[in-house]
Amino acid sequence: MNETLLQASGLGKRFTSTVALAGVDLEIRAGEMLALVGANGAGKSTLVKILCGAVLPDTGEIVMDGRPVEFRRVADAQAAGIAVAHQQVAIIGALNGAENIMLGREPRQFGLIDNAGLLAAARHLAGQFGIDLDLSRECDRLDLGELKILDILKALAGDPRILMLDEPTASMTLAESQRLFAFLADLRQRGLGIVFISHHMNEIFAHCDRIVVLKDGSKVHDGPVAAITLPEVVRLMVGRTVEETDWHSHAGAEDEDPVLSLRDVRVGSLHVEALSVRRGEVVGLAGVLGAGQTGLLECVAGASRAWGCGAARVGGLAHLPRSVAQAVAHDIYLVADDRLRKALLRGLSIEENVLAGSLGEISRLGFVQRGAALERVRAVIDRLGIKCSGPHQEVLHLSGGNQQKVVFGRWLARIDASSRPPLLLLDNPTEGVDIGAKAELYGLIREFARRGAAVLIASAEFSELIALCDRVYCIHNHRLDLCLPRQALSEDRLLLEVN
Amino acid sequence: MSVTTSVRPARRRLDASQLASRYGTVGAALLIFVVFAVANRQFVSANNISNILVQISVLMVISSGLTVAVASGEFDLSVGQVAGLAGVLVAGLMVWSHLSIPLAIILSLIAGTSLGVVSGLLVTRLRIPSLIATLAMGPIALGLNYAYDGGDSIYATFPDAFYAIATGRVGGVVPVPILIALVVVGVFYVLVNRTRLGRAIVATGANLQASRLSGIAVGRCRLIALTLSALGASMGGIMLTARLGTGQPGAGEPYLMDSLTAVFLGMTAFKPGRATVQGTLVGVIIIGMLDNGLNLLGAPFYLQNEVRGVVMIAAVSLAVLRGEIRFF
Repeated sequence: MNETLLQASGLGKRFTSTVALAGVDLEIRAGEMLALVGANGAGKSTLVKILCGAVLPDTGEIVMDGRPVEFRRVADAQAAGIAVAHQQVAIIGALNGAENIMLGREPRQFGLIDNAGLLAAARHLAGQFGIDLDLSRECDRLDLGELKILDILKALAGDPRILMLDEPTASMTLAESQRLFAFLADLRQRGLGIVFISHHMNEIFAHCDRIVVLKDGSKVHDGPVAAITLPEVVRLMVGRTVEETDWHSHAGAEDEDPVLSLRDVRVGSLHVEALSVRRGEVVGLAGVLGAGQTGLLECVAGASRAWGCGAARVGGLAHLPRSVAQAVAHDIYLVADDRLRKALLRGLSIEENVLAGSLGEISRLGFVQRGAALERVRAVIDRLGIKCSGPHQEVLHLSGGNQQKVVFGRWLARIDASSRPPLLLLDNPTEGVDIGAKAELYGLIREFARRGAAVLIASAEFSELIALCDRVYCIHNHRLDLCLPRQALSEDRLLLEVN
Repeated sequence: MSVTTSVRPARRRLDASQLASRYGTVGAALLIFVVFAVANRQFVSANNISNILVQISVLMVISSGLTVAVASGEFDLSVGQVAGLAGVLVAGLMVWSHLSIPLAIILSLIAGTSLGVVSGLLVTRLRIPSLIATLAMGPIALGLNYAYDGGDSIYATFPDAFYAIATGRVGGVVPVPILIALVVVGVFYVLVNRTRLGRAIVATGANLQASRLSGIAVGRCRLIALTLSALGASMGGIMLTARLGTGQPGAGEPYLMDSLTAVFLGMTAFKPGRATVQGTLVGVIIIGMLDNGLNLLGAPFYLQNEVRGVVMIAAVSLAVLRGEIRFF
């Protein structure tokens, strides 16, 4: 059995009206990769924040090396050998790799930074871990996988014994994440205790040794990964099993005019030879991260311009929409990726968020009809099962899954009121959403298709495309030409086609 | 992931902390009122209260316009100079150009408001941050102001009806400036809260990109918001000239700081973190009571500024500490 690095017991934390953590015990061992899983709001973030000194617990204690320790601030935890790489990389683009790694620990000579020494120290650190990156390059020219590794190296510069990683592979390509896991395996070999937080169950089952499941602020499971199965973990997380519903196609007839058809369209560096989506059809876009999926979807949604366009039919339009407003007026709706930045109206209520897409419909002579507006929002909340205290609750106070439902709800409010089949453009629609809410969103997407919507969905998770799609277009080498039918879909095949 | 995720249905009843955060600033305003009332009986006389309201009417009008700009996510640092320009224009148009009162007022409003349109175009077309565009528009307005009046005050006797804007009383009781301020506040309140445009402006202020992707015409919203801000400033400037009885080139300037203070104070009330017309109204009232109350107590003139600064820091820091307001 590996040596215990840290033993936390009875950690509890309340935020004004919510119990975030209700007395959790956690052991972190040397040379072990511990997976910390739980639905959104289960308490993972709070637990990590307590362990890295960002949040003070109300109850409980942390013991390291047989002595109780107290982390009043992040520096205390760092001094005790705990490092965290947060979900967002904390790398400054204008600095080079070495400067980022050594940020705050720069070697100095006569009070001035010793640049040669800095580069040497950073290279030494990188070399220790077998990382071969040009550290003298400015970081805004690196890809996300490289940035993440730099971020972890930066955490390692303090020579920690425990490394906590929050969603390290979010929005990473397969090659990037494989490289990261090789790096992590090496760190584990060196006796580091690694805490790994992820929504990607396949990563956990492939790479972690032990798994701790949190639910509603309590620990509901702690044991070896080898001794548990994925459905069991899911059941523990959500308290029920997620049924893989029977899939069947709702696609309209082959000879019917497609809702979306593109021929010879260029968006950024992506070249779309031919793409079509029929009524009731769910069509996927598979590609490595940054292959141009977002650009293509935003272009079809009228949010950006194509560089060249052979022929396009979008909804009732014989051309690409010229503005989002025009797209929306023709029942073309985009659920953007990165909901905090591109979808949610932060600080505003559920009501204001849901209605932002249908201000015209709820207004008469420029004045908002408050009764009709509220009715519309209540219907969306009921339909989607958004857990909230009411339409006026602030949207950021909701869990990730409920926030995403609000984003869907913005268009649901319109779709329900319209008779035309809409075109739904979904960009990573379940990013950062827990597995229970994910299943509900899948159900919703299928429901849209059943009722005639044409759906074009891009996802970084190929399992998502496999679960939902009639067909999947693969982006390879800046070209979108191959289209795989449902029977041909498998994660292996998709990975093969896009890399 | 947010740590304050609350999935359980919250109780209907507001808890104490929520009440404090929503109505703390209103409570502070009441407290200030009570303190001054106890310190000096004169403070609560009908005459003095009416006095305070008359004094703050100009600020109320300017701040209401600025609130719309801030709600749209933009700053307007030109309100003071725009008010000043409209103020001298209305005086000059009446006195030098012998225009009728309504025509002079309308032309000054158009001139002042058009500067807001220019700011709005700079922000939406040239993508200059509003902080910079309106910072530049301030001196431009001041330059136009000096070009028009040579930097000198416009002393003259205005038509009686013009003075009525500042000193008239409807039915011999309600002062006209209070009435104008209330109407303006009411219109801006309805605009922000009840109209499609207001919703779109607030959405744009909350998240520009998300609003754009929702089909909201974000450029138009910001342009209109900055235009309305300049309109409010111009109306305030005209009221100011009526009150001063002269067109003074520098009269509008102090209103920039005062109106910003009022809007920021207002952002700590009712809907913490958001610029609301009702919140700004509370901010204006606090400023008005402090000025008037300290005056009555015979406090030295500089104390007014000190107290105002301290109140602003106190209110905003409380809101920031509670995590309700984040700046930038």
